[in-house]
Amino acid sequence: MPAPDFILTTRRRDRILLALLGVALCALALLSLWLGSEPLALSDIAHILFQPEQADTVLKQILWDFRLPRILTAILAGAALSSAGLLMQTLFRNPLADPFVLGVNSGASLGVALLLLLFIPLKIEWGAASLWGNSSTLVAACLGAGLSLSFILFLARRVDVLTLLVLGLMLSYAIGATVSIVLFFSQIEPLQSFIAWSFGDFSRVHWQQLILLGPILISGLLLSASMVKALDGLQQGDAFAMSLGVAVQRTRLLALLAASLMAGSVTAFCGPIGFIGVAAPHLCRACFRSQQHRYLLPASILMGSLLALAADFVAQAPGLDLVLPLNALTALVGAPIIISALLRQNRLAYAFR
Amino acid sequence: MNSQSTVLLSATELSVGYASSTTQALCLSSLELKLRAGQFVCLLGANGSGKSSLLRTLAGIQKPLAGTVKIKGHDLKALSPRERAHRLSLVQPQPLRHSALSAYDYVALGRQPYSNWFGQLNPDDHQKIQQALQAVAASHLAPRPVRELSDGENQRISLARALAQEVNIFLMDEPTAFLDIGGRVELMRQLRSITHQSGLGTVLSTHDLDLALRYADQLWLITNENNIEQGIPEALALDGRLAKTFSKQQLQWDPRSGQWEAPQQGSLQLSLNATGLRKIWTQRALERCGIGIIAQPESVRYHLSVLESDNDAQWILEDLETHTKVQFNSITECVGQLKKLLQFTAE
Repeated sequence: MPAPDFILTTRRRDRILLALLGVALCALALLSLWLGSEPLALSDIAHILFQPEQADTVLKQILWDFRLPRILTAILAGAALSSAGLLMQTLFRNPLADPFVLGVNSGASLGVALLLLLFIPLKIEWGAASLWGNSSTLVAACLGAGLSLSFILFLARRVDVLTLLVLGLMLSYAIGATVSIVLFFSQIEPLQSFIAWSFGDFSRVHWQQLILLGPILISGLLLSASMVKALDGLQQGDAFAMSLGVAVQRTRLLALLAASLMAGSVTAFCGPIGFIGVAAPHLCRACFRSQQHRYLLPASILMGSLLALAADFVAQAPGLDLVLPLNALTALVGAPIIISALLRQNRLAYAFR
Repeated sequence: MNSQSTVLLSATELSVGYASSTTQALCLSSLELKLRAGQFVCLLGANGSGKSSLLRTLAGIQKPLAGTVKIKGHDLKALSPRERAHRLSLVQPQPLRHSALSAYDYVALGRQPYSNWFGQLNPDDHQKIQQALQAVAASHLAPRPVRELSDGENQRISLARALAQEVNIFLMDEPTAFLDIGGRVELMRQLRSITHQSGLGTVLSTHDLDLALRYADQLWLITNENNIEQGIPEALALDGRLAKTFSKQQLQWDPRSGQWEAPQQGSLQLSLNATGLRKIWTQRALERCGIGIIAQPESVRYHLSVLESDNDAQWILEDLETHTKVQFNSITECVGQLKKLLQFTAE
């Protein structure tokens, strides 16, 4: 027996919507590649693509070494943040949950704050920092995020989800307080570089970082994709999920691991980027009729990428000679869209009860 | 039902309760339970007696404090979550949470234990889903978001989900809790007929003693001694085990009527002479007011009789001491007067 008509219609509509999102993403990626902060002539792009030997080396460098990695990073980071947000919201059954609720973000901030505000000004020699040279911020952020992640995973085996949520919140506050204290005692220049880091920036990631970040994020996304079925059950409650044969404890740990790994790595490489993680999943819940995670996850991935790329596009301010803070733009670009979508389809109160 | 049919679920030496690192709260101990194919069992017990805990333990969601649960001879502990989900389904009373799902998609969740990695449904799955919806007479609800369903429809969709899961064992925790009386009767009938027709084993916990007595093949009665008495409803009623478990200080369970009765504390007693439906409802009115009914008219001061004409009736209250009669044209007037009299005699 085939599925009933209304199901087929809904699914077809949602697949078309997914395809449209994909097309929009590709279009925006090409537009970013072309315009950037300074539009390239289309003929130049054609040259670079089809006759790389004869192309202008400077233009080639701009395209290959600056724009392309930045665009790829934006797409990957947006996808990762958004699916991490979806995982967290489903796991905690809470619409306010974002990828950072458990404190990976604060952990990364603390790492960077300690590095920029203590280690570097005090000229403390740190093996890894000298080894990695310019990437020392990255190492510090990774260490910070990794520490808070392992602490959360350690707790996750012992308490229920709601307690875990509150514990994560407490952890974030405590780490945030520590960061404030470090900031309070630091001097102006390192403070400025810390603030610059906290604005977030996709252009920090070049090819050499991308070959590290890319596989991490893609494995996080694959891990999320392996859980779509279990997440449908978990959304209805633990006992319900168990009744459907979901290994609840294992799924929860894996989801936490995937979400925190993706969120932590994005923060470490690009700085803390808020909003996308909480907003993109909501936008998808509002736009898609099929509420199963096998639709919501790909939708969130595309939507997150689109939002991140759009914010990055605006941040590069085509035509203007400046780069705006990315972290402010994600919210500035996204909030009106999300507010209007949510007002139009007032569904959240029902989706999370 | 038939005691020869296969045992689907059995518990030996089972103790149910909650254990933390420091304390242990025991609800039920040393249970020996058997659930057979085609058996519709109602689980009865007071609030906090451990009905939900027992169902959760039988479903493998809560760890037993001691003892084992077996499904068709397989130890529940040895089965993987998916294998359990092929055999047994627990339906809990919580409202459907993720209500943006359509009723159809919700029932489709029941196919999860059988579907592939991404939960994609094949034509066979769709057939099972539509059959499950038909079985609970809810096909018309399929396109509606579950958030828009009434409690009764909600409960039917939950049941359809469990049906779509194609399990042998249904464990239902108070499915009738939010339903009106009509909905309860309907759900019990549906469940019982599905259980009998498909040879399932169903355990349903409820506070609805009356319905349980009417529909259950077998009662599991949680006693005040953390035990479970088992038997067909009539047997438990006859040997006084029901009355013993349910009677409280202020309330007696009367095996004669199958109803609850508060002990008579009224100061007013009268004899009643009536027939048919009016007798039943007049009796109930008297009981409700706390007026005792005495069989011998000689021993009491007041006598109430109902005179019936074609579609009309008159209630006549007679004072045998003063030989006065008062006549009422409706039961409302009669009860009003009796209440005044009751107050008067109390003073």
